[in-house]
Amino acid sequence: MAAGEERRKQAVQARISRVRRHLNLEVALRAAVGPTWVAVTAFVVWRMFVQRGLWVFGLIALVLLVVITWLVARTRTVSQARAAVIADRQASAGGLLLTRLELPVGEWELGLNQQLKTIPMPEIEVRRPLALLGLAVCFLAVGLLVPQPVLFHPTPNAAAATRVEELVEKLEAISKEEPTDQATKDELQRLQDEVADNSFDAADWEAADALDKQLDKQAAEASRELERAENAAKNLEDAMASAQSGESQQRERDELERALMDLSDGQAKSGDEAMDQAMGEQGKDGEQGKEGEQGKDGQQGKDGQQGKDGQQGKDGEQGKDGQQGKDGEQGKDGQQGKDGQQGKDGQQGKSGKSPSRSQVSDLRKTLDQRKDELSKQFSPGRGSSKPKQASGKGEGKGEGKGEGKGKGEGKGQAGKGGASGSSDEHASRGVGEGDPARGGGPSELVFGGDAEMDPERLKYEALPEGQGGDGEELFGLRGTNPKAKPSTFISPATGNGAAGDQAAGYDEGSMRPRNRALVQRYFDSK
Amino acid sequence: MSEQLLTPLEVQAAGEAIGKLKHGLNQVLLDQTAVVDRVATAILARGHLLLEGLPGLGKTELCKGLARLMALPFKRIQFTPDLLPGDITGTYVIDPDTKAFAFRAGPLFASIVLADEINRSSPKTQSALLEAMQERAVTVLGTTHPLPQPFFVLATQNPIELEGTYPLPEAQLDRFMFRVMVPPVGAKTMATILTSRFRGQPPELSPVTDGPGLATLFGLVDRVHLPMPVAEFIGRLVEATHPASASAPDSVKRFVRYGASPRAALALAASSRAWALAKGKPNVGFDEVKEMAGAVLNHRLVLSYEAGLERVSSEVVAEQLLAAIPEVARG
Repeated sequence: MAAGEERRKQAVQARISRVRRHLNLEVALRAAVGPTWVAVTAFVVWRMFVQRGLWVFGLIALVLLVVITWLVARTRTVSQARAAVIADRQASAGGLLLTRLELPVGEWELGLNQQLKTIPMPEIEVRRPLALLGLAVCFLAVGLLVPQPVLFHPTPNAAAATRVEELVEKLEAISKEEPTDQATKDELQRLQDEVADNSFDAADWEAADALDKQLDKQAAEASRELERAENAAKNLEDAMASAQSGESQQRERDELERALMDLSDGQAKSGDEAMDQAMGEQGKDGEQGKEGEQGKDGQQGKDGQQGKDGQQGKDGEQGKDGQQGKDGEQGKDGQQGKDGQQGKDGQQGKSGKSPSRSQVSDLRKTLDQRKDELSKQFSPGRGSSKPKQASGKGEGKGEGKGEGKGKGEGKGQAGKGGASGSSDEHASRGVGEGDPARGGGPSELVFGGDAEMDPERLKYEALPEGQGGDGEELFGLRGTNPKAKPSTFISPATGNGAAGDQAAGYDEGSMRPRNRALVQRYFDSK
Repeated sequence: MSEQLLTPLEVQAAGEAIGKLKHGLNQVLLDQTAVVDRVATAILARGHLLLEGLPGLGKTELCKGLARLMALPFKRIQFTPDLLPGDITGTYVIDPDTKAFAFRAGPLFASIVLADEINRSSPKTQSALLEAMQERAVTVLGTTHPLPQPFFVLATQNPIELEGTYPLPEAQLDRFMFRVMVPPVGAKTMATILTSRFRGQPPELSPVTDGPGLATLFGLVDRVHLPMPVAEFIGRLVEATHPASASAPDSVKRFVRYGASPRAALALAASSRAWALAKGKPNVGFDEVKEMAGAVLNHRLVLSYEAGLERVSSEVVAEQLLAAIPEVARG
């Protein structure tokens, strides 16, 4: 019984659902008109003016059309209750159909079914939406039939492309020397993409300029690195050459020692011979010294050259190194210049009649001095044998005013080897390490660049105790701090004229001892 | 309301009884079918009736004929300005035998009470009908006396003689199920009256039903099914009578000052049931509601001053309301 009742009820529901679908057809058609027109218009416009990815766009538009239509129709769809009312009306059931949905109608069922069988579908207005949809389809067909216009392909930004290409080349060149960061590569890639999309705008130009500057900076750094490496190689080469000259100086030393031993052993036949021998040796040595000087100067010149090279570079520290190396050598150069002078003065020894004891002792001293010099010169860490990497603006000027220990009265020209190095930063003021000796004589003043500042020169030195070193004594101005003047009563009868005596100033405190006493004490202590 | 729908036989039997009643009333009131239908429907729905029309249209005779057809106790009260509430409800008098106060029932104690020219009495007397019409009981000196069942008040009022009348208050009007406008009869009808009736007297009517038969009819009316969509329609209809309602049509917003009460919805549902049964249907449809709506709402709509200026009647507003409210809500 219940199953039959349920079946009969479902039959009635089916009739109502049929009416509902019929009504929803109109709703769906109406809902589809707007989205269809929008989609078709968008498709046609896309086909005409964009053309790229036409069918993908069409597919997306179709999907959107269906979805939007479904959503709109869903909000306007006819409910089952409304369809039941309309079906009741259509069947002229007078509410019996509605009653049937709520409770069994018993004997009224038969008549109701007869009415439902012949139920006419409610009239729906579909002609208008169908016409609009048909128009949309026609519009789409026309839009597809119209030949596509030739699209204006925007010319690529040639200037931007060139600029980006330059940047790429720069980046490649720099990347060969040193690794480049990923951000730079990404930025360059982005600029390339912008050029490819033809959307290279002002901001991209600015980015390209900034990238160019960055690459230039990296290139400069790479160049400096190369420069340093080159200078280092040069220094190494010079050091090797210096080592070779050191061998010649070793021979010179050996000869001097041998001459000295001959002198000490009395192998010389006569004083003159010994002296000649010694002087000859000395002359030789002098020449050798001169050569050494030259070598040294040359080395120093090399240093100067390095300074000059350093000038080509831009590293101030390297320039300073070069300067230090020069400074260390100049004193020697001076001595060597003296030696060289003395070597020249060997003619004096040669021109002498016989060497006296004092002359021999002087010669011995000279030889010892020379020996020391050579030992110092070849000792590690001293002299110019250590290659310095001179760079920056420093000038290694191998000109010094030597004061050798030689006793010759000849005017020794200061070793001037390697004077080719010119520095803008300083003039060499190196002081020779040798003992004080006369010689040298007047020499040409050479003005170089800025002198190196002695770091100890401006070192803070506290004043002695009680001489003003205490800051509180120096700045004891507390007594004169301004203070408010105490108010004084002025009688109104005084009028414009000032009344009363002169009053004290604002300062109520006594003045403290001034700095004069401190200064006096200071100088007294001196 | 009822789980068991009326059977066709039951509906047929009720239809026959109602048909007899209508036939009898049509003999009293010639060519006033609509009025007769409204009167019969109000009786079946156990509602009170306000007949409004020009004098001499047979309103009083209709009420008398109805009482005769249903064989129910009938009383007539001629309302005058000096009528007091006690005159219609009854009062306590001293019984000479027992020397004690005894309640003497007034003319209200009848199944059919004809309140003739009800608007001529004072509001105080009119208000004496309020409890009787709604509660079907009368309270005198603190004692409530139930009225006989069924109880109907059939009131008449003259719309043209406004001198010395007291318009019925809204609360009083709301208790009448229908306000039936009795239209003037045509010449042909008058000719029939002249030829068929001796000195205008209506024919003698024999009862077509009685109290138990009427109670059976009432039971059948109660079993008429009111589907939910139709009930919702009644609710939306009554709601739309309020000008502040969002669903109110423009005519209501413009011409109506106060809308109908829920009692109007109850009256509309009950009258629709009765009318559906009278039409031989086991359920209420939208048509029955629409046919009853005018009679139910026309005296419950308190019109605005603008409506008076433009001579817009409540019937017109009710018609526009019915045209504006759809049978089923959207969705």
